[in-house]
Amino acid sequence: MKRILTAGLLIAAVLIAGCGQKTTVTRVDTGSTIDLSGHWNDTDSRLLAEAIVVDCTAARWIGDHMRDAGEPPVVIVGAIRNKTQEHIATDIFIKDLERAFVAGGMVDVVAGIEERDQLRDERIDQKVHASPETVKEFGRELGADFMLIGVINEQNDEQGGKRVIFYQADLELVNVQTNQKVWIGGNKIKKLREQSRY
Amino acid sequence: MRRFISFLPLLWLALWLAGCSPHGARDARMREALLAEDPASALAVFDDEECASVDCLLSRGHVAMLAGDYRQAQLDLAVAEWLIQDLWTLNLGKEAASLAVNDQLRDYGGERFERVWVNFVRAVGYLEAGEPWEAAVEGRALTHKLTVLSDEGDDESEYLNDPFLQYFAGLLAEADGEVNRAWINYRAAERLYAAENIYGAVAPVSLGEDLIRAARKLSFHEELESLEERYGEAAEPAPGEGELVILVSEGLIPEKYTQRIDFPIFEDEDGDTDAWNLAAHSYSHWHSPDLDVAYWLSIALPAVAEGTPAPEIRWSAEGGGGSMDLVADLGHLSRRNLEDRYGTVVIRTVARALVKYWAAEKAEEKKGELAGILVNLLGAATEWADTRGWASLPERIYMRRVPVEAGRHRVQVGHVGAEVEVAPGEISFLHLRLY
Repeated sequence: MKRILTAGLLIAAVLIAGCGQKTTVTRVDTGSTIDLSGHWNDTDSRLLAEAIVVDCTAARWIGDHMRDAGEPPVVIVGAIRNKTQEHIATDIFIKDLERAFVAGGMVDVVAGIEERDQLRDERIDQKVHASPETVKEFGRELGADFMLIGVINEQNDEQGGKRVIFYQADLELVNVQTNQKVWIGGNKIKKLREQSRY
Repeated sequence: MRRFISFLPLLWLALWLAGCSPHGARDARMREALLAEDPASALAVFDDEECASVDCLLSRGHVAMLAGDYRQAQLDLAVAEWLIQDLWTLNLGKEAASLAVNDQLRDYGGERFERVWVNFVRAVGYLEAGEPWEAAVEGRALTHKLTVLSDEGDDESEYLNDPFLQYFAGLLAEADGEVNRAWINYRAAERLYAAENIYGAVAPVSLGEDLIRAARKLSFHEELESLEERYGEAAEPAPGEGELVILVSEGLIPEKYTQRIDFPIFEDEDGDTDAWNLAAHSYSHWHSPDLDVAYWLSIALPAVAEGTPAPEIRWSAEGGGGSMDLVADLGHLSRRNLEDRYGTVVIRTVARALVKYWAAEKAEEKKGELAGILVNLLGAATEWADTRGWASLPERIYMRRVPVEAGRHRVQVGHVGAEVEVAPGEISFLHLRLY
């Protein structure tokens, strides 16, 4: 009987242990790398963006543009298509690219389509409400010389508890005037996710 | 009295376990509200529950979608997907406990078909919310999951793939401009629909036409010739026309229920209780006044209820209409999934019956007859089949792909209708729910 009681109590303990999960929240450095599921995360976005911008700004097209125009190129980051099987917030990736361009200081970056609309609305508003000496004029925007567009792809392989996750970002810098592709590049990330059966 | 007190923990455990399975009542109330075409009330069923299990999250997310709360729906379904992935790692404590009590103590990681159909539901949610690019992501996730699943064995002899989901993923890929991906999905769908006994539906007429159009776009001349021999000609949409894919989810998936087998094992004249020999004769001795019940054997196995007959579904719009193809029978898939793992379920159930029998024998041996009876009753009372499942799923899916003039159209299926915008040269989707 003692054994049965012990077994009963053990089962109850296991069940109760399963029911009483504790949640904790800790603040961490936003630059730290935390991989939980193996899926696309903020670190992947930042690392890829930084590597791509370094590669892009080291290419010949900047020198060519400086020689022809005599000033730094103006770049706009266009659409980045998500062709993966995950719901990636491409907005974050676009911001990481813009941030890396601005931090590199080799090019000027102008606002994208949605931001432009906001800024134009603000100028309309200023016409009515701002003091005349501070009103910003229309027709003084900086036009982009080049647009960065691209796609993020994913290729996975999986068996049992192992999963290889491979992301590839392919980007192209296109001359807005001539449609000429002046730079094609990208970067890759490969991860191995292992999960034990027991 | 002391003997009775010593059993209190076990009785407490039995009572606790009895209150541990709220899914049956919850699912019944949810389904009742859905059948009354009241998804808001169906969603309210989950208000009083901490929804942390896969079956609960799947149902709540799905019902939230039907109620129009797409944000909550995608959140719940995404969490359910993560949980399913995490539960691949077995909890040994719960596995052991389930061998002594019942299978509901194991974490529910979803039936195979539920694990892939979650992406269909999520894709439909994104389409309804006007985010086709996110639906395309679900289509790619579906393709990947089906590839991994089919690697587990022969997908033409058990449920390890899904023809309709392959077809649907292909449609999403084609709508996203990925004709080559779509072609691969369509080919897989064509192959799998041939295994009708596994997947429960036959290929819709539009699949052959889609294969032909994809082969033409990809300049696969040999394949095109062979496909045209099999399916005939397939016209391209006229200039100014777009294409509309009408999807109808119909009915509610048949419920799982417990098949209980209870029978007494009698003590023979010599006082022996050779359980398994006596079990064979137990029914014939049922009324024998000379024999005492030595053990009450209780076994519970899951089963899927019979489905309803498939109705004929027709669609109509200004200037057109026709019948729709039955492309997926989820009742069949549910039964098939259970059938595929039934051997394991039976082995676990028999092993548990032996454990419970042994426990009762030992209790009687050590503490007397009353102890044996109580342990026996406790074992019988806690013997339930695992009837958890995704209870909000439809019973069947119907589909039709049609070319239509670009513009806004009102489509009617039965008493349910909706408007859809079709752009020239593009594929639009419309999903309707019939109960």
